[in-house]
Amino acid sequence: MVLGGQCGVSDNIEIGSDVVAAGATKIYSNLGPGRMVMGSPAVKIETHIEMYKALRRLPRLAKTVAALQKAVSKSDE
Amino acid sequence: MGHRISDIASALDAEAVGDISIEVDGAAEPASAGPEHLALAMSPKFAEGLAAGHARAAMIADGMDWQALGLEGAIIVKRPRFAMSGLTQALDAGPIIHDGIHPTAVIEAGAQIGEGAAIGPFVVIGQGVRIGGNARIAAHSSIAEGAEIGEDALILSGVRIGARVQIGDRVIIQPGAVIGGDGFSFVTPEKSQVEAARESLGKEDAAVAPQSWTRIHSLGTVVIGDDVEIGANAAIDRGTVANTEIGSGTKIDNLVHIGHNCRIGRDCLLCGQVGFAGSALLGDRVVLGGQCGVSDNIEIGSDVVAAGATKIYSNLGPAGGPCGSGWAMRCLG
Repeated sequence: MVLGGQCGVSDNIEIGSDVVAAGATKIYSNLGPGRMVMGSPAVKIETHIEMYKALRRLPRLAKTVAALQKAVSKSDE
Repeated sequence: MGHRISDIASALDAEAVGDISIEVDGAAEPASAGPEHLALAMSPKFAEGLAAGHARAAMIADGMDWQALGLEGAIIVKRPRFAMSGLTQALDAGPIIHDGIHPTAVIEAGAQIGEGAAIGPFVVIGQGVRIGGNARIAAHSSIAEGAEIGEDALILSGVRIGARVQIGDRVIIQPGAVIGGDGFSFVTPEKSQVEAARESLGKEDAAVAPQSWTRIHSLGTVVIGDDVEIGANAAIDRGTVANTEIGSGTKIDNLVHIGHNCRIGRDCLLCGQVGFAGSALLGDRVVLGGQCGVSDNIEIGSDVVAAGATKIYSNLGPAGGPCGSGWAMRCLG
């Protein structure tokens, strides 16, 4: 098992063999063997990257939604 | 031991007014100041407290009316925050480390101790160590063979300095810091799970064949510039082949961990619990807030500022540069 720097592990949980956690990952629940995780709470590295990309897109998404909302409320009038 | 406020003012390049012969033996907040204190009343809010205290003299900001505040004397400063540096320096008696070498200290063969250096009790200085003039080394510190420390160093109690570590002039090292421990460097005979994770970015959960870690020894050392301060219980590991380097003027807080082969520029500020995995390259004047983390083998440009607990997993360009703003908040960018 490899835990990168600044990782945290909760009490009373089990982490299987060959797990890899990226730096600063916080593990709050059991992890099966061979899992590769990242983030807080720890999720699959791939999932974390998707989550992070989505997070970065949020401001743009909010603007798009606001524009759509405006368009919809105008069409209501 | 009293300090005349006129002397303090001249040390700060500030103006003393009123009875400039008043002597103070310390600084205090205005409301709790006695007549022996210099009240620190540089903001109107703090100056209100003067009425409740008994200070005769105070340090005040430009534009404040010392007579209206009921003071007998005052030091007027232009930039109060900066004045705190000179003021505290003037009033700080520092630790008591008696001149000369304490009889319980162990100085091994070939060690050179500079003129005016003070070596405290139970200090161990290894073979061939060179200690600069006027260095002060407090109790229980150890400096291993071949290490070099510049002039005017202040090394507080229980500091561990490893073999061949080089440190410049005017360093201040707080208690318990460890400089020059071996790097955390291990390798596997076959590809490790970390390499697999990096290659696939964790797309596949792959168990690897069981194998153990083999040690990579640390042949390099740690080279530290001038005017560096290192906090209590901080750890700076030695390099594998090249050296771990800390640039002049960089200040390192308590419990900071700097892994092997890191090269940190000048005038950086690394706050408490910052961690470097190793082999990171940092520019100049970088500020990392508390609990920041820096992945291995990445570059951070000059003037980058990272807020507390920022985790930096990939390269960051210099502030205002083509590929990064000063505020580092990205990961896997």
